[in-house]
Amino acid sequence: MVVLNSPTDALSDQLKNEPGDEVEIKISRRSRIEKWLFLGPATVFQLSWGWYPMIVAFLLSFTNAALRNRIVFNGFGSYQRMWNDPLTQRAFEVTFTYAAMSIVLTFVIPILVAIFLMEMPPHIMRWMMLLWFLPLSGIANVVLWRYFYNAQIGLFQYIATDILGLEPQRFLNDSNQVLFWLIFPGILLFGPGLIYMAGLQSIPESYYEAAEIEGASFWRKIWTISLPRLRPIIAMLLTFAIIGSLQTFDWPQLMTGGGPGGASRTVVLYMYSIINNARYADATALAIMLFAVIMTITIIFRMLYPEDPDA
Amino acid sequence: MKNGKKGLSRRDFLKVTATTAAAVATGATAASAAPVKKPQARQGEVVIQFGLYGFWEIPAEGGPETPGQQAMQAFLDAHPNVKLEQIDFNIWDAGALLTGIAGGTAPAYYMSGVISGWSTAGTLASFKQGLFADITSLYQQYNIDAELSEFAANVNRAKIQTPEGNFYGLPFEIAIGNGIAFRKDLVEAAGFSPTVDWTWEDVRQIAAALTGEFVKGIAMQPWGLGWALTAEGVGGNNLLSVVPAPSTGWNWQRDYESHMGTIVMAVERFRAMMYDDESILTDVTSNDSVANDSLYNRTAAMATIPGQFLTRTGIPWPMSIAEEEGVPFDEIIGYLPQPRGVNGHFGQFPSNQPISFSPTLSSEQLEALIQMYVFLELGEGFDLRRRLAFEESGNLQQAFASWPFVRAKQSIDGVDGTPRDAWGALVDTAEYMSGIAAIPESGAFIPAEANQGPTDDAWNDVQSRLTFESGSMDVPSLVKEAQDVWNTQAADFESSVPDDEFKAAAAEYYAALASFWEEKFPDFYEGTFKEWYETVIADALGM
Repeated sequence: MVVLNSPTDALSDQLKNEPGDEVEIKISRRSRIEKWLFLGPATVFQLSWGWYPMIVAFLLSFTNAALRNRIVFNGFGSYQRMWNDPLTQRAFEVTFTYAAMSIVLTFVIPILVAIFLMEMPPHIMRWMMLLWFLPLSGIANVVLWRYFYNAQIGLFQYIATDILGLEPQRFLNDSNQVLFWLIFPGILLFGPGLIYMAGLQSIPESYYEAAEIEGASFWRKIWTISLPRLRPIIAMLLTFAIIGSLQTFDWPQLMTGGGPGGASRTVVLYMYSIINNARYADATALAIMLFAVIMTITIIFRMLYPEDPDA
Repeated sequence: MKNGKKGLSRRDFLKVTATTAAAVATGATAASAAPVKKPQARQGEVVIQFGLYGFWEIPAEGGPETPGQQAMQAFLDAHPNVKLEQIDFNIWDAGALLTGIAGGTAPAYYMSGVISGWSTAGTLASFKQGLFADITSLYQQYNIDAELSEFAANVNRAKIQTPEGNFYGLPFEIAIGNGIAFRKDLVEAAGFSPTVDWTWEDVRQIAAALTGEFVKGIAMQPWGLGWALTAEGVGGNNLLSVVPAPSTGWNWQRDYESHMGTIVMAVERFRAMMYDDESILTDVTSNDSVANDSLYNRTAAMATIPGQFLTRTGIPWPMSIAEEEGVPFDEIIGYLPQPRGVNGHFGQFPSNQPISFSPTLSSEQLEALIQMYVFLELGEGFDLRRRLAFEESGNLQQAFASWPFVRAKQSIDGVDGTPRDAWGALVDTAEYMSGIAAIPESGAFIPAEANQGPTDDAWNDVQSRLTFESGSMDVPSLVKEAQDVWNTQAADFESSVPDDEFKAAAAEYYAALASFWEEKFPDFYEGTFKEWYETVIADALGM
């Protein structure tokens, strides 16, 4: 319990008499005001810009969501329509595939890279960290990569054909490869690797020394010390990664517009297409469906992967 | 001192920091939740907000700088109660426009095609859904029809007026139709002299001949296959692939199977250009401007572009190529309408691209905008702007940019010259294309739809795959899949138009189409349309 003011004499006596019991301490009126002053703006902000739009969107999904004409209750019509829509199923397939690839490539790899970097000489580690701190404009990034991937005049095509002597590559024009190439820039950016490195640095050296004395190999130490100690960080970041990858929109929209052939059209991208056709009710119904899927996956993950390092 | 310690205690520091942060957060919340700034008009003042990338210029604060600003200043001088404000709103962003209109923050005017998919039916539906202001009384009060060219008044009339007689748009830019611009010097050097009757096979041969190491024969948008299919009238939402279905909820269905042979032929020809000839410059990452930009950048010798791009001035429009090369425009740039289909079908008709006004404007604001349009597009302001542009550049093309004009008068007061003086042989192509006459459109016959329907994603996906996937492909299966997906989607939509009303209007529409094709394109009518009309359409409508 947080003690904001000194206990009264009566309470002090009670503490002396019942040291092991939990004692409810009265918070003064002033402290209560302070508490709500601190919490108030954030609460109002969250309610007005987080919960209110969500609740309105949920309600809208049961109407025709007319822009300027009369709004009419529509029941589950939008949900049924989106459930029956073959493109909805395809969008979810693309989204799950993208999320799985993204997590494997941009989440798992940074952990390994961080572990290996910790073994490097300090000056190399510092140079690598300097590179990752360099500022990159988001839009400039997209424009650059669009040029890199252009199948006819792009840099990667030049590397593939003129330097490596390969057949001309399709890159984003190939529906079987497009998701990989959309994720590829994320691999190079190292992602949450810096956070892992901070976590690794907090592991007491004595753990590794004890393991070495016991004859543990490098990989054994990684498996029994590094990864378990990183579990809380991994659990938190993996939760965010799952949610974020299932909501992917910007890169597919900016790079391919969902093509070729809908091979990179995620659920949120399909939602955007429907919104541009002024089908707001259908879009919110699809959003609620996606929300339900993400919530379910996240809950299952949290149940299966406890944060406790000693679990 | 406090509690025997000097200076600020840790607790006090945390309190001050948290209080400051809370105050900043409160201010940010209040600011973000504040009502959107509406034009603040003084008594009798009419404030109008313009979005970004529009066509009418607001005079600079230090005084008008460009011909467009000077023309606007002349209008403002004559209407001192009108004030203009620039808002940070992209009028070409469909999603933003829809949101802005719903929220009352949309700019004063925008191209109606942006939120209607550039189709007449879509434009009418958007009006029915309340996305454009009704300007009927003002249109009649200012007798705008009398000032328009016959072309502007009659082409796509339903894009500005409902069948019931309500006006909701003003003709703004006349598009003579989509075609192919090409480097005339390169084409002639290769031994070709294409004419308006050219076919896609001609285009293929020319593109192959012009393809080199650093130059492709033709640049197309990522959906360029659509051009080839539209020429035949098949695929997507083209004539022969859309069938009325009054027995279904949505009243329309896609039918690609009836003309699958034509679709396969067009697709295979396009894919031969892409993968055998390697003469097409396009990419899935490209946007709509890739074709025009490639022509300007000299990375393609031909480009599929709308006709109105030809008479736009500045970089990267084709006119600037002639300026940079220092040769007359019609010696270096050629333009022909899109080729016809092998069945005689023609798919690229001239169109009217109107502007519409926000439905949340007041009557005073609407009237000021109508007066602005009359002055700047039909009257003295138009002459002033064009004359100043000519005097500034000495270039007649600056005066006759975006020709043909929507107004009846095709000359410019104070400018001694004609469109032919400015554009040379291009005028012949423009006159040919604008003389084709507008094809009857469903929106002019069938009541506007109040409900939204399926998107075109199903077809666009297949079209994209057919464009960008190399190797052998089962074209009929893919096309049928697109048909089935769209029809599955449509089954869950309900049209706002009653079945009986739809059947009667659709019958009228298809009868008008039959007359049109029989008169203007008899070979297509006799060879393809007539049988389809008398079997498929007649069955669908119970005729």
